[in-house]
Amino acid sequence: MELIDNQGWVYKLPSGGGYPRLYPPDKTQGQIRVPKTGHTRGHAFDNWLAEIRRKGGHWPPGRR
Amino acid sequence: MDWYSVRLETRAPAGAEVAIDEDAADKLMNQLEGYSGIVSTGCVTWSATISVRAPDAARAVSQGARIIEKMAGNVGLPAWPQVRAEAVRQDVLHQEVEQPTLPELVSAPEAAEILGVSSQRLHELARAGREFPAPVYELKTGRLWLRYAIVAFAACWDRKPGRPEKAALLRERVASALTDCGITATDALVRLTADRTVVLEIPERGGVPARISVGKIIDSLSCAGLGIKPGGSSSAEDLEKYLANGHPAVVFENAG
Repeated sequence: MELIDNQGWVYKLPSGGGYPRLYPPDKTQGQIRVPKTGHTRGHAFDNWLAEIRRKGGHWPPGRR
Repeated sequence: MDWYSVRLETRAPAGAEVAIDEDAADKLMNQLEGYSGIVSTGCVTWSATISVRAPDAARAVSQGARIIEKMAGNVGLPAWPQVRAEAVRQDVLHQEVEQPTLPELVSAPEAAEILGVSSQRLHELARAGREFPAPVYELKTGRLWLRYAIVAFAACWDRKPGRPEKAALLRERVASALTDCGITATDALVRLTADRTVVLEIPERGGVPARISVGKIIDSLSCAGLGIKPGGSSSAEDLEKYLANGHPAVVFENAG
């Protein structure tokens, strides 16, 4: 995934269960839970993308 | 009625014990799943975004905030002060998240390509033009411009036909040679005098002669096929010292 491979984000599945989390490289920004429907376009995906962008994630990816 | 994305952000008051119960945040995420909910937590904050149907943004905020507050209370998240509550129509949000967050940038060669000119000509335009867009970044590897700024310049650029006069070309060549070697306008001033002579001057820095960069400047010009001599009727046995003391020198094209 672009954010994880190229922008320093970390994806973690909590050991005790619960929602997977995305951690931005800027630790002051906290963590975002990954929705179960997050990989299909729809309101949840857009809400999730907006939160990622708010915490410094760059989406869509830049020019290569 | 339209769909709205509503986000509520809370922040711990100063002095509050700040430990978010992550299990509670997971429960909130679960409760908000039917609202396309997203939950974020941080050291001193938690926030939630949901989607609701409402007649307008103002009522969407009110409705969405009530839902989030209620659900958050149910799962035991702290009722911290709300510092942000906003709503955006879902289709508008969709358009926004489709737009890149990073602007499209172009390097000097790419900008030259857009303008249909050589890299050297681009540097001349960048140096001479009051209308030419300023770079947004000046890195050690070079300058970067916003692509749309270069495209906008290209659209209204009044290209003058014919070759520029020889003296102006020489001036631009000098400036270009210096820039390519990392010598900036603060290290060396290049100007065209009224009698169309290209003159180079090394500005003093707090009364200290700039000897360190003078040798580099002379070498840069020599590499570009340019020579340098004292201005007017002056002569100087030590050209470097002459320049370092702030005296103007004339730049000329080497023969051959």
